[in-house]
Amino acid sequence: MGIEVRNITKSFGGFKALDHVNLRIEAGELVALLGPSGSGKTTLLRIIAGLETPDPGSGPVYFRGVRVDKQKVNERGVGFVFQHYALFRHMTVFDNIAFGLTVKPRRERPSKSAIREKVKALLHMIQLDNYADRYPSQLSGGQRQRVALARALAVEPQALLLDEPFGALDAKVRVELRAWLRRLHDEIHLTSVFVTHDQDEALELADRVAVMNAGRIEQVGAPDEVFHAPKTPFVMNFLGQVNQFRGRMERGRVWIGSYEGQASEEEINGGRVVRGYRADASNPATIFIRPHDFEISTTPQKGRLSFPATVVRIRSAGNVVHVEMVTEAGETLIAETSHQERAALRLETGGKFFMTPRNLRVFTDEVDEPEHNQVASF
Amino acid sequence: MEREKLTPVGQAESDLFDYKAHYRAVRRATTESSFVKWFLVATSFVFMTLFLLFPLACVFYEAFADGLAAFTRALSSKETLNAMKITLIATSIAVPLNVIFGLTASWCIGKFQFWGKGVLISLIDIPFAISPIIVGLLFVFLFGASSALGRWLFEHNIRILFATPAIVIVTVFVTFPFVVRELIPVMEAQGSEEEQAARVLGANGWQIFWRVTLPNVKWALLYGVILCNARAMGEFGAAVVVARNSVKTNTLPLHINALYQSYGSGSAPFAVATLLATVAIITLIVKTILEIKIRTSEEADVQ
Repeated sequence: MGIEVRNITKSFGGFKALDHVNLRIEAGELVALLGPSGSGKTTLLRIIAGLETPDPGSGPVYFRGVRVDKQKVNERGVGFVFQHYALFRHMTVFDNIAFGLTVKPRRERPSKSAIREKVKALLHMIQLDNYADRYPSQLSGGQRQRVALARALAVEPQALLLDEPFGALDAKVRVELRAWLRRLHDEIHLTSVFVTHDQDEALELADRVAVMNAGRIEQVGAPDEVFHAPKTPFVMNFLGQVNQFRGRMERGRVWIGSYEGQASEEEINGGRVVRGYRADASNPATIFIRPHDFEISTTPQKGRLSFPATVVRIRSAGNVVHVEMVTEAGETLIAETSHQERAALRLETGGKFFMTPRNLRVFTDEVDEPEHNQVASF
Repeated sequence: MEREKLTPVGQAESDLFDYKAHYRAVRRATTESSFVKWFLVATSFVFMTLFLLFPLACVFYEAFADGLAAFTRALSSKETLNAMKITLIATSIAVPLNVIFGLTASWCIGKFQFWGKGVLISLIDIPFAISPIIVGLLFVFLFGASSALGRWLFEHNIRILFATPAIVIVTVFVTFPFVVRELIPVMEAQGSEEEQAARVLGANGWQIFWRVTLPNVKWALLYGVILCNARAMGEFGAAVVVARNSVKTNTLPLHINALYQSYGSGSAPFAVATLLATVAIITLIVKTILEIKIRTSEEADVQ
């Protein structure tokens, strides 16, 4: 079932949790809402479920092209998995999973034996066949989360919504459950949306990732796309480690201090139009380079942006070598290189090397143009 | 013993750190001397015996002082039966009302944020803060001939004051906070995620209440009911003002008081008092069982 939200705004008191958000989720897709806490990702998920009402003036919510924003949460037919499981503590695992079926109106309710068969099948799917008579308090965190998932799936929902599904679990269980959920999704192809603040989780699990910040969706795309071609400084920063340098953008050339080089159209502002950017003038900008995107050499590389830096510290315990360096302007940078390359370059503390980025992203500062200021004077 | 196991095989006892002495020293440093311990325990036992158990035993002893026949006669007298009836009426109205009010009030206080919530919580405690005599007077003023409401009631020949309705009303008033006070902390601790989960699974309001909310608070609810019941049966101060001590409107406590005040009733007041004392003992037993139930269910939640 495809899901679409248009122009959704939601405020809590004075706090704007969502700010004109648009999102389209295709049928059968597994989408991650990724962002730091307070970015509005859980609010968006709860609005899709109907657990939260958007502010008046917000646009509609569509399920399979049909408007559902006037429908109540129990009419929408979605499965929701809560971060802290929200299992019914006084019911057995069996009764928890069967709950959604037993509260159906009599006409739609399956027979007792049909319910039993269904719950048994779900217990088998979550690998808890022998746990039907246990209470939630007798289960581990991972087992509880699987029961919560089975309970949500029992009513055959049109879509599955998961709020930080692995947030309360320890690291090892989290990775196992993640892989299991991906396999499950590949088997049943249920449209699913999950909320997470863990970029690894989002990038590993999702077909597409919506990166959220301060109530807005900054970028939506496949994991490769958001990681390798971030469209905003926030996305660049949030997904993985990155070095930042102050510099400028001048007539298609990128400058860091007195060193300059070419930048492609894609590399400049993620191909977007940024307020105040003037291609024919000098624009103050921040340049982002990931640690593994540096070529390190003893001499500057001709015709490319290639700037010197001095090695401060080397951490070589691990499968890559982390090199901490300082530029001429006193900015710290982290580069990653292989053990072989480090040996070939004789990379040691105190050595001076030239850093040439293979990939970079330039984001010019957003500046209000003069005509914007004139508006204030009417 | 755990300590003996600490001695490694093949080593002379004397080479080792003296664990036994060490443990003794630790225990000495962290516990009071046995004299202090026993003194404190004994004090509480003596106090309990003198002030609680002894009077209770006296009630039962005095009740049978004139023999079994006098005991049964006192319990089966017309006045006693009437007093029992009125007490049961008041209790059987006050307790269900308390349950309904307690559930609704604790539900909205425990699960929702709204303006004036703090004020509402304070208002609930009013009956705890006001002396029951004042409560009685308050209702005498409200329903008496001096108020407009009282005159209207009199004109329409509706009798509230100095009759059973007044007893019921003051009983409801003084027992007001019992159930809700027990339920608020439980409702607050449990939050509303389970209800939200039930709602997403398609349950309607009634189904959520009966199948999720109520089972989760059942032990706390019963605990409140037991306390409320004991308080309703024992209410004296407010009832004595609005009942005006007439034989027809006496509740059990009022009846006991009336018997005790009149000369020559002998063991009768004590015989009737055994009824309330028995209720108190049952209450204590049930209360203890419920406390264990609540504790184990909370422990289950923590895991």
